Amino acid sequence: MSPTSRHLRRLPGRWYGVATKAQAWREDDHLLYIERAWFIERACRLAFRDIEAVVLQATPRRARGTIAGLVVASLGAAMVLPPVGLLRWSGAVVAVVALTVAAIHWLRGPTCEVTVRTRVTETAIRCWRRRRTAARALAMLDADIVAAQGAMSPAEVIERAAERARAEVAALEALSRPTTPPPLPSSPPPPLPASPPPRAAAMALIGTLLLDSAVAAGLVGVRRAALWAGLAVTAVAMCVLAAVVLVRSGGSTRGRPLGRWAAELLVYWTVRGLVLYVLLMVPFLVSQAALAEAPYVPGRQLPEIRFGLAASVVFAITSAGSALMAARGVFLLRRAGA
Amino acid sequence: MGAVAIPCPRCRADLPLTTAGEGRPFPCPRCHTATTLRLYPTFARPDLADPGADALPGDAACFHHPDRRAEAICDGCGRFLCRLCEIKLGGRRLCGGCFSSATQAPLAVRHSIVQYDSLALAMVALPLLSFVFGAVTLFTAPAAVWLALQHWRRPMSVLPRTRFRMTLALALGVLVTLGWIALFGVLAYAILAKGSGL
Repeated sequence: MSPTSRHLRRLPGRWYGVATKAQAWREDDHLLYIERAWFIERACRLAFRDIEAVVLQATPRRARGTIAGLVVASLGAAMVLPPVGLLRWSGAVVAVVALTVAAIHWLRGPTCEVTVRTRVTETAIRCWRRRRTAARALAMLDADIVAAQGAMSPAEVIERAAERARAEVAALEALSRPTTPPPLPSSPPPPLPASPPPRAAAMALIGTLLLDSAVAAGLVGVRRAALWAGLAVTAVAMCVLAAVVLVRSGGSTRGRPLGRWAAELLVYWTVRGLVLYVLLMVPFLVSQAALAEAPYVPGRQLPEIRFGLAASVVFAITSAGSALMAARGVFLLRRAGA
Repeated sequence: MGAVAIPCPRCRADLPLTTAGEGRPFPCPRCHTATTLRLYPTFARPDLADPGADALPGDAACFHHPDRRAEAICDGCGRFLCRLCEIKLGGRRLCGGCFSSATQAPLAVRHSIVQYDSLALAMVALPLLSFVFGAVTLFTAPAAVWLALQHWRRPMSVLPRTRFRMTLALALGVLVTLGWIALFGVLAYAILAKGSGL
């Protein structure tokens, strides 16, 4: 890693965030990973001879982003239906933009997280967040790493690593000085017992989700006060149950699919609540204001607010969303059981 | 194979290395994330670091490893260092802390750089572009000029980078500062002229 070696070649992939940017370069003997946040640039150099492994893990960002885009596009399309000019235009713009973003996000391919490991560091390369980009960049790096370390098949690497571990354990056991701590056991310590997944709460949550889906489906055709109340009750129950699942999962979403699912549900209901409020309450209030300004005709009943079609679309999406979340819960519960 | 395991970056569970050789994605045993692993020969390399000799009674011991004999003194803070803790850098011997905080380290080993050129440019350009906060340039433009002059020779990135931002920040800063001086001059002249009845 000579200070004067400046044969920089940029690797594929760039990542931009809010005032942040990440990119990777390769020099003669090391990988140079750079992250910029506001006005500070942080560089991380990983010598090719020190790289032990590259871990590439799939992430669900592609599916999630696309679904989120489609949901926003659907809600935008639903906003086209109320007979209010401003909402109609803004809804159309929202729908087109969201659909375009979702399409681009989908077409860019599956997403992943790449981590480069050395003996002492573990560096997440944030600019390789698409599998296609990561594959291209790693194909370029492979040649450099092999040139620095020599070629060896993965099976041979594993076999030699096991031999090294056995030799290290034997060397530790051979030490018999009184000040030396007891040698490490040759076998790995037993893993900590994993906390059992909160099955009962998760099943109750799935049941409530299905009930919520049914109630929302009912509201597609019929607007009854009982159904509105039912929707509110199921929403509250689901929030409570999701909080229970999240707490029983250890309060963490990292590596705990059910906890992550519960956290996603909480976000989903928050967004849904806001969207229902904006899409239903705003047209309602606008219509009320229009009615208040209209001349009073004796004997005429207040006309029913006619934004029924938009509400039907919104409730259909709500119902489908709850059903999808329930299906995801069933899938995660079955996998946790397996 | 606990000593040679690779933990899952998400859940820290040990990944099954036997499937790594097949080159196919495999699920992490705990979080079930589809994982692909590429192993390189360094993974099987034994530890090459030599920790040095043990400290005997009466020996100076390493500041960070009291059971190791000190073999060097940090040129930055004067602490005793063993062979593991000693970092040789440009003829100097440093401990890890002094190495991390060494601001005059060569560019090739620096890991954090403040980009004063972008900072100076943002200080003068963003208030101008926002229009609303244009008056802020009364303070930020001279500050940007000072930043640009103060850090003119300092490298702004580990990557090749021109001085375009710095030059632009300096030019804008000087122009805006001159503009403010001119504005205040005109105002002062007008007030004085009005006071003297000219």
